[in-house]
Amino acid sequence: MTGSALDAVPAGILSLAEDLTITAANRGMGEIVGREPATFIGRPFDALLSMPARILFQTHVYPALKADGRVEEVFLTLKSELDGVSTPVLLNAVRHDTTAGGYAAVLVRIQARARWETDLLDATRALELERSASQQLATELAGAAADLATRHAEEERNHAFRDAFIGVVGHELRTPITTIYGMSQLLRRRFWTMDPTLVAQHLDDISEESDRLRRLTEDLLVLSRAEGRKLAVGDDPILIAHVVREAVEQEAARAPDHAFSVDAAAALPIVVGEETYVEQVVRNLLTNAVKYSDAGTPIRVLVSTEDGGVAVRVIDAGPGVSPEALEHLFEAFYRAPEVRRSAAGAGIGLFVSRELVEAMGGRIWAAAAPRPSVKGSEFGFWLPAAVEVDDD
Amino acid sequence: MTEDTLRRLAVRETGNPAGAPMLFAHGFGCDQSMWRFITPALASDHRIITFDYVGAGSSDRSAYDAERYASLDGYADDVLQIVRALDLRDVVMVAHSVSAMIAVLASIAEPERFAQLVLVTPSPRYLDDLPEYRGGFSPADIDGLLQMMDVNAMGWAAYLAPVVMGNPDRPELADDLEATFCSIDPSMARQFAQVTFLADNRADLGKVTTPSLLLQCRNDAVAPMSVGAYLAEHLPGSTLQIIEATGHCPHVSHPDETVAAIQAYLATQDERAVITA
Repeated sequence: MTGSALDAVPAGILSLAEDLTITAANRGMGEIVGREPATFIGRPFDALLSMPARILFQTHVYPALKADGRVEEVFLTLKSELDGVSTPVLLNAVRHDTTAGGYAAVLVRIQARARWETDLLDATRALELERSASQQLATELAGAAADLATRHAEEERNHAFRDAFIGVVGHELRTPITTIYGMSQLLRRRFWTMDPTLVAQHLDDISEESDRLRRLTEDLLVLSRAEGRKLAVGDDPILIAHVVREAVEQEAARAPDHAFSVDAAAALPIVVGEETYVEQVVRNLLTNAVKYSDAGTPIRVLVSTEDGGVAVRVIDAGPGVSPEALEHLFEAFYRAPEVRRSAAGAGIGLFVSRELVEAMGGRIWAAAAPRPSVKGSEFGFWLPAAVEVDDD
Repeated sequence: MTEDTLRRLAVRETGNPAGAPMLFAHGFGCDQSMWRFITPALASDHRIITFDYVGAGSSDRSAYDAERYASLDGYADDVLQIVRALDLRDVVMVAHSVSAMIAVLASIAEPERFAQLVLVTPSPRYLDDLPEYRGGFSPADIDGLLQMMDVNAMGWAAYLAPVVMGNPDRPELADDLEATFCSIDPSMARQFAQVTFLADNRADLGKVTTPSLLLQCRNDAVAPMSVGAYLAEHLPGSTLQIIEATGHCPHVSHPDETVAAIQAYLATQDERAVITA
């Protein structure tokens, strides 16, 4: 090929055998490679390529050339013997239309264009990086904002909790204290002149209000412990029916106008927990039942074996609980709208009861009174039975 | 599941349905069309199964999952899915280039499925790990390759784009691609290149229990002789056969020699099986 008119062409022109051995080259090819054509004629074409280009050629270009009979605009780099810097070229190759086979190839050097393409690629990559970085930043920002919102909501909850707490202390504690204070002042001044039945009545009032104060204090103690998430539970064996009967007796004495009944199944399993907690829960449920149902209506207490534990249900014949209120009953300081005016209360009894029951591994619920009752509500809780341990 | 696998990986069956199953796995840079030079010669005796990895040929490119294909394991799992979908036993798996290690992984996972591995120009690791191992490449070579692929992708993307993005209005574009030999999605090809050339499966070789034929080319820039020698020494039950061919694709450049080598190898293995029996 050298010595022909093709030598004047400003591109590398190659003739390749079927196995891609170089059979002829023009002078332009020699110029691109920086060697006399005679030094690479007879060598495989890919020997001219840089290492990366050899891989690309062997894996991508050669199979395509072999099958399609042509490749176009393939970007490759040539190995440079001179300065070690590889020369970028575009390769077009096509199969000879002869029986002998083989290929004709043209290589055009694309120095300036390759630089531009590399810059373009780099810029695209930098953009891509920047985009993913800003995306990540946006994600992080969104995460931080969500964190802040959570913390803010938490703080608001704490504020609301504290406000409600202060409200309860202000109102619910003040009422009995005022009564106790007033009555005791009255008794101190007029004890000797007062009608003895009136004295007895005032003393009863003082006793009743002290008891209310005592129970409220117990609930508040649980409340403050629950807020700090440190409700410790003992592991006393508890005979629930016994605890229930005692609590009902006390409540019945306090509310003689209601008709209490206890229906406890025989052979109830023993539960494990803190007996004073169980008492407190039963008492809370009973007090609620009394508070929210009319005098003269019955309050039934059912104790049964259920689901590997013991269930206690306090069923009243009051107006029942609205579905809307059911969802919030066990939240701290919640008072159902329908009872806010009609009955005093702090909205902590049920919350405290739930905390106590759950701390002992049980669950608590509120529902409409079971059929055939047409009105009234059921408040119940369930505690798991003690796991029997062989003591041998 | 079965149909989904066969469609996703564009599984095609030809040859003798009653023949011993031969599963062909193409290498990096190509698709199943690269097998068409040798499959006709094997079709009378074998049930021929070819497929495209996700991202190549007429596979379902929307099924490409960069996380799944972040290592060769995802590809090996594809192979096993095909084998299970067709319930193949005693498979002769013919695997080119990077697929050789994919076949190795698949045969380790479910050896009972595979009778023979025919590994065409395999390499367990492309990067040098001197002094004890010479894979042929430096990290700079791989960077250079990726860069070159990126530059070429700027041009390739022009005709690949319709399929990559899906163009139901112009189905003839997909037909064009069908006719195009070795079509690969550039971004998938890039990750395949990274996974392939940074993989190191030398530690897996010792776990292989399936006998294998190593087809090594005399002058292969991608898998040099030193790699073939390493494999012959470290892959249990392997037989090294050197083909007088230049390049990395003897099944494309030297189909007759390749078929002859495979047939001769399988014949000796059959004889051995008969003798052992």
